[in-house]
Amino acid sequence: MGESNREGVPMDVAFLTIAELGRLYRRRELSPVEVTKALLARIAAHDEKLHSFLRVIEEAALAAAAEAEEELMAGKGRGPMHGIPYALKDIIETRGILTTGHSKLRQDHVPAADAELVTRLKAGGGIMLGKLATWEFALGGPSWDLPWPPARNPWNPDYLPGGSSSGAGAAVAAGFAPGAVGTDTGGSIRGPAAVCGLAGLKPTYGRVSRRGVFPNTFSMDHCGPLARSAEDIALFLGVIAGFDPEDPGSEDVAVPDYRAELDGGVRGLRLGLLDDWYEGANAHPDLAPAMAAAVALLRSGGAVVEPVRLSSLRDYTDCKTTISSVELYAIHEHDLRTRPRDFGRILRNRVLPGGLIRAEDYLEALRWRTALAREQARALEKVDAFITAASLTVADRADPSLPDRLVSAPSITMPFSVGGLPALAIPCGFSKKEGLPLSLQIAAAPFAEGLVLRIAHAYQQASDWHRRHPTLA
Amino acid sequence: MMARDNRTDLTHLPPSTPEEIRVMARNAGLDLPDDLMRQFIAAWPAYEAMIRRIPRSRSYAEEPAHTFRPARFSGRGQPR
Repeated sequence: MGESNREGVPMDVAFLTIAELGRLYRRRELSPVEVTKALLARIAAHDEKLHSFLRVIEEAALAAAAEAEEELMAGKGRGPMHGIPYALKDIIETRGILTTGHSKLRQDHVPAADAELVTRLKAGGGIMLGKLATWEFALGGPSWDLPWPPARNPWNPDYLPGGSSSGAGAAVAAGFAPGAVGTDTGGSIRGPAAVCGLAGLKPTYGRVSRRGVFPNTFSMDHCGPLARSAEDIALFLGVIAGFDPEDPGSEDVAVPDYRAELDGGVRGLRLGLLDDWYEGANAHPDLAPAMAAAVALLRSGGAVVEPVRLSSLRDYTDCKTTISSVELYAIHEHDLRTRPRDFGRILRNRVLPGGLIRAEDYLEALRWRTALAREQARALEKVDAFITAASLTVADRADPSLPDRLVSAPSITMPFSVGGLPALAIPCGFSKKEGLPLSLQIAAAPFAEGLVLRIAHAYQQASDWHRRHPTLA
Repeated sequence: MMARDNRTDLTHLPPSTPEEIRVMARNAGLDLPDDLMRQFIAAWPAYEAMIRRIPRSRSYAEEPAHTFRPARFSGRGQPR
């Protein structure tokens, strides 16, 4: 620890990337068992204050690490996640391991099978460290009335790590794991990535199987990785992406080698800048200057950046939230009728409205979604990708008295949830007053994850925001 | 009403009263304890305003963004 290897890679194991770990394993300069033990010790030392893990599966993790180490020593590589520790949001089912959704309603639920993405990670030799905090069922939070406390932001534990993949954001930022899997219906991967200074990808709808993942909104649920760099997202995504005939939303589209596409640069790419979404009274004052600097960096790399206009964030947020409210109610109706007090207050009051939304309202919102998705598709005939912010604000204070802003505050992540497009958050600066991360969002056409990651990688080759880490007390 | 005054949404309607919200909840089969109902009555107006902002002047050809693809269930016709 604290040393550099002969490649000049800093050997603080807690903040090595997936790509760096893989290189060090192949050179036999580091072993999965060493890494896993170091991360488990770090979790034990610091997570009491951050509450990012709901449960750590130490024995199973060490067994998986030993197996990976043996295979790697024997030259039997299983791909880029082989020997890499990761953790899962606790709505992702794990065979024989409690999967609660961070809710009293499922606090004793032990699944009989793994989610499809877990099966893929196991086959790829990944090492699961445990299950992560989430807003209740990936929606109700931050909540202080659940069986477990809300996770805190490693950059400053007086602040929250965003949501709903709150534990995933906190754990990766804290150096507890180089990557995690979250879920994103309206921004639940990108939001925590943004306010924790990480890369977080919502893939195209249908790119990663949702089988075995507790639903939030059937027509908008996505699973995807959070990690420290675009390169790591590329490596992680390649393992969990792919067609699943048992997921009705899954698409049978070939999975490319995302890592191989990373180095194309941005020269000649046309990037549509959605700056009217983040310039104004609702945004943090340091956001627009940070975005301007990011745009300048992309231009210096040869990208052509031009303004693009789509419908307002208010429109996208209304469309998404109407659809979600109805689908959520359908999922939770039985429990709402029979045990309403077992819901956290925030989740209950976000789900109940769906019971009063009429069928014609839901269908009008679905028709609106068609129009909004077409609007994005038309814009993408003129530009290769969209650029905007990934969060309008820095992290929220951990204050239980703050009002619920799900409906009232327009969301800058929901437009690409409505469109089903791949969208990635990456850090692009820090606020001056709070010292908290600011974030850039890149989105492109369906199944253009490779292009999104290529743009992000080019940005990260020319900047070092993603190399900054919090210091844990 | 919309055909007569050319409005494209329902934002002109007055907000529901607490009693109207109670009736709507009961009609939806929600029999909540009174303290939980009071919380819900406080939460509902933001959702009601949201629903009333939905545009409602689409042509018949503008279909909902959900699709039923029968080939998916027969295992045929998957895009590649």
